[in-house]
Amino acid sequence: MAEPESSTAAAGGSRLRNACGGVLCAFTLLLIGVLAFSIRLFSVIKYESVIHEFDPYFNFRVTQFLSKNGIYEFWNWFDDRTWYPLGRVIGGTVYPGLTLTAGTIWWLLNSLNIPLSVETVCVFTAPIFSANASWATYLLTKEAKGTGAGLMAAAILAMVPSYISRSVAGSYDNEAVAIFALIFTFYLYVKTLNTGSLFYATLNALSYFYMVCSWGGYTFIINLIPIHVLLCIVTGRYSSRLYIAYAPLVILGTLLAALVPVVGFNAVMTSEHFASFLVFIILHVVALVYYIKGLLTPRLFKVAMTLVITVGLAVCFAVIAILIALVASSPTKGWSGRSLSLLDPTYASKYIPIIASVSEHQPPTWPSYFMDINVLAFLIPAGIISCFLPLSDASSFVVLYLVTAVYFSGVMVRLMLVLAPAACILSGIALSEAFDVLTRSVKYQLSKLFDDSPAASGDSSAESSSASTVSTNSAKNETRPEKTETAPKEKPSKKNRKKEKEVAESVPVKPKKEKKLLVLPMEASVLGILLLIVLGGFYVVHCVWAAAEAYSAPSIVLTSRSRDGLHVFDDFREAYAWLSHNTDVDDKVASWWDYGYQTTAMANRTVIVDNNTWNNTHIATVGTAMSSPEKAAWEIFNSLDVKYVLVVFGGLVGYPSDDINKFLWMVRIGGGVFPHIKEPDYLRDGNYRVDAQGTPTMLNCLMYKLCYYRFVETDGKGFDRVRGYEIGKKHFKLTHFEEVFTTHHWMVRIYKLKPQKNRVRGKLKKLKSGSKASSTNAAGRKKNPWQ
Amino acid sequence: MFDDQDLGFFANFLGIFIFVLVMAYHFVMADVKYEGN
Repeated sequence: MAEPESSTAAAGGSRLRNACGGVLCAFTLLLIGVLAFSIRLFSVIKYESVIHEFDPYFNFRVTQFLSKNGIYEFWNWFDDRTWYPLGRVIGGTVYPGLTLTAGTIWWLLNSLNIPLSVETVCVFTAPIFSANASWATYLLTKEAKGTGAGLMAAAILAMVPSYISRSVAGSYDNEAVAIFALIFTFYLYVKTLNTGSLFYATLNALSYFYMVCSWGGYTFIINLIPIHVLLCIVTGRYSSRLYIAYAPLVILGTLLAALVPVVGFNAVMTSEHFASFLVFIILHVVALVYYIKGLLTPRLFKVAMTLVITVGLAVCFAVIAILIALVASSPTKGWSGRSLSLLDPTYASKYIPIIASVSEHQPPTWPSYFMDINVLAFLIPAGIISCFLPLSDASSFVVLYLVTAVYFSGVMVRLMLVLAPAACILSGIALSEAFDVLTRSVKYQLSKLFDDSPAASGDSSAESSSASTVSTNSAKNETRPEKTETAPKEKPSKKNRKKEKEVAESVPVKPKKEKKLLVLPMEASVLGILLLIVLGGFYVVHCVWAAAEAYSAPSIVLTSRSRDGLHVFDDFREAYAWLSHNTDVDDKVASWWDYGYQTTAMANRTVIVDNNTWNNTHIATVGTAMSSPEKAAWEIFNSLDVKYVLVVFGGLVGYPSDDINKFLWMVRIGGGVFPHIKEPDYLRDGNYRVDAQGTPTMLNCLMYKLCYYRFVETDGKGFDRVRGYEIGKKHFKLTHFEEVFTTHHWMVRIYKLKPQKNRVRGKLKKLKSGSKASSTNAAGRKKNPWQ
Repeated sequence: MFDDQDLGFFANFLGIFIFVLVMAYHFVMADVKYEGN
């Protein structure tokens, strides 16, 4: 009679524990979502609700267009305000995931009579998706190592600085939603792998489609998953679940990916995708082999294998030969420039200066690892070890994800973002394992304190619970050593050994595994828990500091603190507002490509080049103009119908990201296409100098003149605060350009191209009649296209 | 007015509280009777 009662009580206790755990888990997940959202709001509170940096302005502009004109207009949008005179087909060259997501959120909110502006929705899209990414991390880690690890990983990801840097409020960029899509796709892959469900496989393909819509980084998924499948096959872990997890993803995923205009036939024609097809074929061969093995007798199977291997090898060689021929016929061997620079880190710096010029494409430094993932860097190894105890399909996937992400993050600082989730998952697993051992020890010691016979109660509940007899026996074994307060690794007593032997006879493998239960002394456990929480506390403090101080500056508005208090530098918006109010709608503005997106979005003026960087020659033309003497530059700009030139200058206030510091890339990119621009002409002792030692070419180029025109009037010396010296050429006049606007802190300077008559000084009388005719002709020509 | 210092305090508090909650979850779910793997 006692047994059923105790079993009911134990079942009730277990149910209560699960219920409490469930409630705690849900509450923690909710708080994790709140934290992920709120930690990204520093930028809004410290500055204002504003879009950040460069690319987000383009995304914002596209979203505005989408919400105003609808999806079909967006799909067919040809933008004549960028890349003048070429223009850009926006619908076909943009990853639409972010735009469609924010557009849908805006539409939903408006349908519910919540009249938020498009800008507000765009600003808060990234924090919302950070919360989603945390929950997706929970799901993925839960599949790999259980709920506790999932919670820990989600909590860590919610505040990891690496991800915060790309997802603060206002950072309306593709990565904001793509990281969520990446983690969620991985979760669905692992879920399918664990369950073998076609439902999850289909969801996985859909999630992959969303990722393809969102970010070019989708190639990471379509290469990582095949590598994992291959790993599973090689290590003898092939199963039908693996087939279901992979085959639908390749077929459905590729079909769906080809629907995205920016990807199109690239989904089947570029080398980035070939690995997936190759593994797809291998998987089928392996599946066929397993199928035939089931049908035939071992002897017949051997014969069949010989036949299949012979034919298979012949077909494989033929296919590989065709592939190699196809790939070799392409100059970049079928790889895009960015992918090549990932495989060969020196490729971009050798051949594609436009990729090398972007700061986020540089390799990271060691401190940036500490800044971006902090203590996780030290917890990862523990997580890896934990993944191998025992190794499952899911945990091997997580380890593989980490290894590849570490490599890619080492190539490009931007890809620290891809490393962050892997680091969080493995650190979460490590911390969770530690918490598991420590809390179990505390619980055991507490139960020992309050209950005289914990082992007895343990026996009864274990018998009644779903645990097998083996577990009960092993629990007995495990609880014994703690009674005598001995170290857990000590050998068990004779009695225990006997029992072990009995168990070993009944179940040969399991008892050894289950013997590993580790229970530490109370003091050590409590101290361990406290230390881990302190470690977590340091991590939290670092993350909040990084979010508040390092990654929240919108870079469109700058601030600095001095003895007088806070200084705000709002020069960029001042300049764009000036352009918007004081120039004609059809005027063309030339600037270095960094400011293209902002100019079109904020000033609504046509630009020559922008951050899309799709046409190297066009960017090289602008670079050449900036590197040329005034007259030559004027001719280039005039040929492009440019009316205003915008330069960013930080010499007065000490803003280092100005055009003079970016000038080397203008020279390199320009010189890459137009050989008369030679970098050595601008270098003095290997440096770009603008002081008295600067080369004549440097001191006469347009960029120097536009930046330092009248600069000497500010302090009488012409001291450049960024470069830290006095400029070389202080007093000069502009012949082909006139200054029309300089912002309050001189950070943005706008010049207008002088009309053509200034160029023909001295011959004015002779050419007067001619120039009149030509100017009227020009006016006539100019009017036509715009009328 | 909720300024950045308040948000900093809130985020710090919430972050550490979540760590404690996760620890509590492990404590609640810890099963001393048998190995959970």
